[in-house]
Amino acid sequence: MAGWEPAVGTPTADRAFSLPASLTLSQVQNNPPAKPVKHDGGVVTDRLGCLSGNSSVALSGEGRSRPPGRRTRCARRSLGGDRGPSPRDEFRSIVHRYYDPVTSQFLSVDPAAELTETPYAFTSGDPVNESDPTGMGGAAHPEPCNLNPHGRFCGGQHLTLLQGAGILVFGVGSIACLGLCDLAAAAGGGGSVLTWLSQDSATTESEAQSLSAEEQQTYDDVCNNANNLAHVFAEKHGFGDLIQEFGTEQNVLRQVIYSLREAPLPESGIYTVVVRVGGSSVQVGGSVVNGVARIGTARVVQ
Amino acid sequence: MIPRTLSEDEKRVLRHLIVSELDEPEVLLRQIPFAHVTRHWIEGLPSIDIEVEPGVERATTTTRTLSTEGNVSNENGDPIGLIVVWLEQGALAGLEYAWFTDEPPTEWPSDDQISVKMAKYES
Repeated sequence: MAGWEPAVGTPTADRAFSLPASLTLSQVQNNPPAKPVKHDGGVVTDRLGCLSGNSSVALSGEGRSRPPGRRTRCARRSLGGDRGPSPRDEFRSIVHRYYDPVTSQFLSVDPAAELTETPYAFTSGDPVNESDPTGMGGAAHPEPCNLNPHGRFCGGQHLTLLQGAGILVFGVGSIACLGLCDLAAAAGGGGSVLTWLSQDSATTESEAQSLSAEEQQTYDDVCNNANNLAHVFAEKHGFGDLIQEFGTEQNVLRQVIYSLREAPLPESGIYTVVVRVGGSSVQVGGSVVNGVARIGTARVVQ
Repeated sequence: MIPRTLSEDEKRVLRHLIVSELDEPEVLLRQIPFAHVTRHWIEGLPSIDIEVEPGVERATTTTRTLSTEGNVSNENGDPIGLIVVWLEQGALAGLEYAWFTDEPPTEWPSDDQISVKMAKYES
């Protein structure tokens, strides 16, 4: 069977998956691809290694944080679906450009570099929210990814996931959104997975979506204490739909904090404000202490 | 043991906030002896879900919380928390103690620590 060499990070023509021993990969749904390639273990892919059509995979293993039932899809865009191997199999051809999954960069200058101002980076470093199926620039993703880029962890703690299997869950999901279908890269790419997939404030978040030091403190105050997080997202507070929309409680919290930027907070003392988060109004109650807006409670206003 | 009747502290805090309620406070006060704790939001912490026995008069309000809330301060007067009374179809449904401190409170504050104010927003 043609395979993947994690140490080198080079996919072969058929691009099967090489997963760490702690993971199992199983097909939970499969619409037969036009030209299926069956690999050892029963995994069926197309010639680019995509789980074709509406195929889905389920990953399991230590560190898994994807909710049960959430499936990753392999988007089949203009990626050369069933054509044979490229002359440069170690790179991905994305219609107009070659992409190197090891360095997470394009190998040729973006034809639309004047517009994107990122001659080599993929989707301006935001593969979670953007896609670039043709290599011409970062178009908005045509459908919500519903990803969980930070898993259940806060701040930079998701980095620890790189040492476990959990990152693979994010990797598969994010790549499916990219349309690159590069399960193999997720499984064996090592550090490149971090560059590609983690919506880390230090790597891929835009400045507008970064938290200031004070906002980070607000975030950490809630997230670094399990009781605080559990209280803010208590069942009575009605965050179910927003968690569904943004993937995790932590992601919802980030959105709340972004929204607080426009709220009339006092310089110090107790505050109660209503902010817009997604399609909902959220009432937030807390206290500003030393310039940090501590969040004591929050609830979706019905 | 859950469900259980309300503790004296829980009853005291409920009364403290309900007496200032604008809409039918007497109806809500009459529910207290027939209210039961069905769940703690977080084990070991004060916030609770409440259910009032069937057949006990309900208030006509449709709001999910009282129009009043309690701001909690420490001995220095610094704000340390917020108390909210939850309603469901005119019945007491919860008592929430949110905190702004590093560590969560483990017991209800005394009445003199609670400053009852009109909630800025209603839901």
